[in-house]
Amino acid sequence: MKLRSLGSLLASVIVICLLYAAWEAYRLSQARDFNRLVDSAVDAAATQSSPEAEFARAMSLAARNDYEGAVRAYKDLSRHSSGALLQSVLYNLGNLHLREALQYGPESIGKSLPLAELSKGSYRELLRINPEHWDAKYNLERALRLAPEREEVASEAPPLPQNSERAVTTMKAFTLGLP
Amino acid sequence: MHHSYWRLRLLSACAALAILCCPPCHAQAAADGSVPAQIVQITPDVVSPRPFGYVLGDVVTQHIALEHEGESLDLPEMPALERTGNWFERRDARIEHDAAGQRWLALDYQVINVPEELRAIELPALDLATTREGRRIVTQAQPLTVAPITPTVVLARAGLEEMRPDAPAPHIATAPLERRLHGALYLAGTLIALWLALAALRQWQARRRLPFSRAAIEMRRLERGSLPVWRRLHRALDETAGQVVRGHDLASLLLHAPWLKPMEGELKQFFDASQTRFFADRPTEGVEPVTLCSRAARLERRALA
Repeated sequence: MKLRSLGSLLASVIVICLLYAAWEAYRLSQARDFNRLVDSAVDAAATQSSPEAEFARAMSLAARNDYEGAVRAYKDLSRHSSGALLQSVLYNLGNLHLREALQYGPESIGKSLPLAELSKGSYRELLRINPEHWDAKYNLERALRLAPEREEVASEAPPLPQNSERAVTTMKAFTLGLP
Repeated sequence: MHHSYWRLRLLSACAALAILCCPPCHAQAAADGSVPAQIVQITPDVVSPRPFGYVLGDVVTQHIALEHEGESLDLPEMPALERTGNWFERRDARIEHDAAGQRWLALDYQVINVPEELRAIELPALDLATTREGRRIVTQAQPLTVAPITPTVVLARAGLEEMRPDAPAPHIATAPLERRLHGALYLAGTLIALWLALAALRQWQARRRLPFSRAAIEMRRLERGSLPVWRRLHRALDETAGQVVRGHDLASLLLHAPWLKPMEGELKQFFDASQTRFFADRPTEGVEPVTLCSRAARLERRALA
C-alpha cells in the first residue's frame, strides 16, 4: 500500500510538472511570436501586452512624431520597469527630448533649452545606473554642447539665451541710478 | 554753507564714537566665553583616483583615511549625495575597511559635465565635521583631466552623427523560458521513469505475494487440466477468502474480495465443475483453471498491487 501511495503521489507530481511545462511552452511560443513581430515591424509588436510591447508602442509613437504620446508611454514604462529595459527606456526618452531640442536648434534656444535639460536629466539618470553606457555618454555630451553648463553659469544664474541682451546699458527698463 | 559743515562734523563725531565703542564689546564677549573653541583641521591620508583620462559619465572614487596620527575619526553624518560644483556629482559615500582593518571613507563621484576641450577640473575639497568637537577633516581639491568624446563639429560619418540612434525595441528574453521549460520536461521525464520503475516493482512484488498471481506462476509448471492445477486454483481461492471456500460460500468470497465480482459466473461454474472433476472423476468441458486463474490474477493485481 505504501508503494501504491508513493505511486499516486508521483503521478500527481508528474501531472503538475507537465502542466507547468505546457504553461512555459505557451509563454515561450508567445515570446517567440513577439520577437518575430519586433523583427518584422515595431508597430505590429505594439499590439501585444508586455513591457517590451509597451516599449515598441512608445517607439512607434515616436516614429509617428507623436512627441507627447511617446514621452507619456516611456515615462509610464520607466515607473514599472527595471534592468536593461529601464536603461533602454531612459536612453530613448533622452533621445526623444534631444531630437526635439535639436529640431529647434540654438536659434530657438528658448524652446530647445528646456528640452535639452530634460534630455540631460534622462541621460544622467541612465548613467547613474550604468556608467558604461557609451551611447548615453555621447548623446549627453551632444546635449551639453547644445545647452552648455559653464562654471560661471552653474554657480550664478541660469544661462542667457543667445543674442540676448547681456549689457545692462542696453536692456530695457534698467537704469544706472539716474533720476 | 554753515549748515553743511555742521552736519559733516556731526557725522565724523558719530563715526569716531562707533570706533571707540567696538573694542570693549569684543573684550566683553571674550570674557563671557562665547567665542567658539579653536577648530583643529585634520588632513588625513587620501588615496586619490588616477588624475587623468576621464570622460563624461565616468565614476571616480576617492578614499579618505578615517584615522590620523593613531586617532580614529568618526563622522556624525555622511557627506550629502548631491551635485558638487559644475563637474561632479557625489553618487555614493560609504565606510570601507582594508585588509589591515583601517577604515576609509569612500566617496564616488561621477563626471556629469564636460569641458569643450581636454582640461583639468577639480575634484572638490572637503571640510567634514567629526564627532569630536572642534576637529574637522579637511582635504584639498584634486585636479583630474577630463576630455570630450565628441567633436565640436559633427562629422556626419558612420557612427559619429549628431546623436547616437535609439535603442531598438527589446526582444523578450526566451532563454529563461527555455530553461524553465527544459527543467520541467526533464523533471517530468525523470519522475515518469521513476513511476514506471515503481510500477514494475509493485507488479513484481504482487506476483510474489498475491494468491492468484503466485498460483498463475506455479501453474505454468503443471500439466494443463491435471488435478494439481485444479487444486492450486482452489488454494488460491481459499487464501484470498482467508478460509476454505466451496460453491455455496461464493458470496462470502466476493464479500472478502469484491474485485472478483466480474468473475462471479465463471467462479460458480468452476465450483460446479470442480464437484464433477473431483467427486464424479469425470473430465469437464468449458472450464479451464489456468485461464481462470490468469484472469483472476490480473483483477487481483489491478485491485491490490
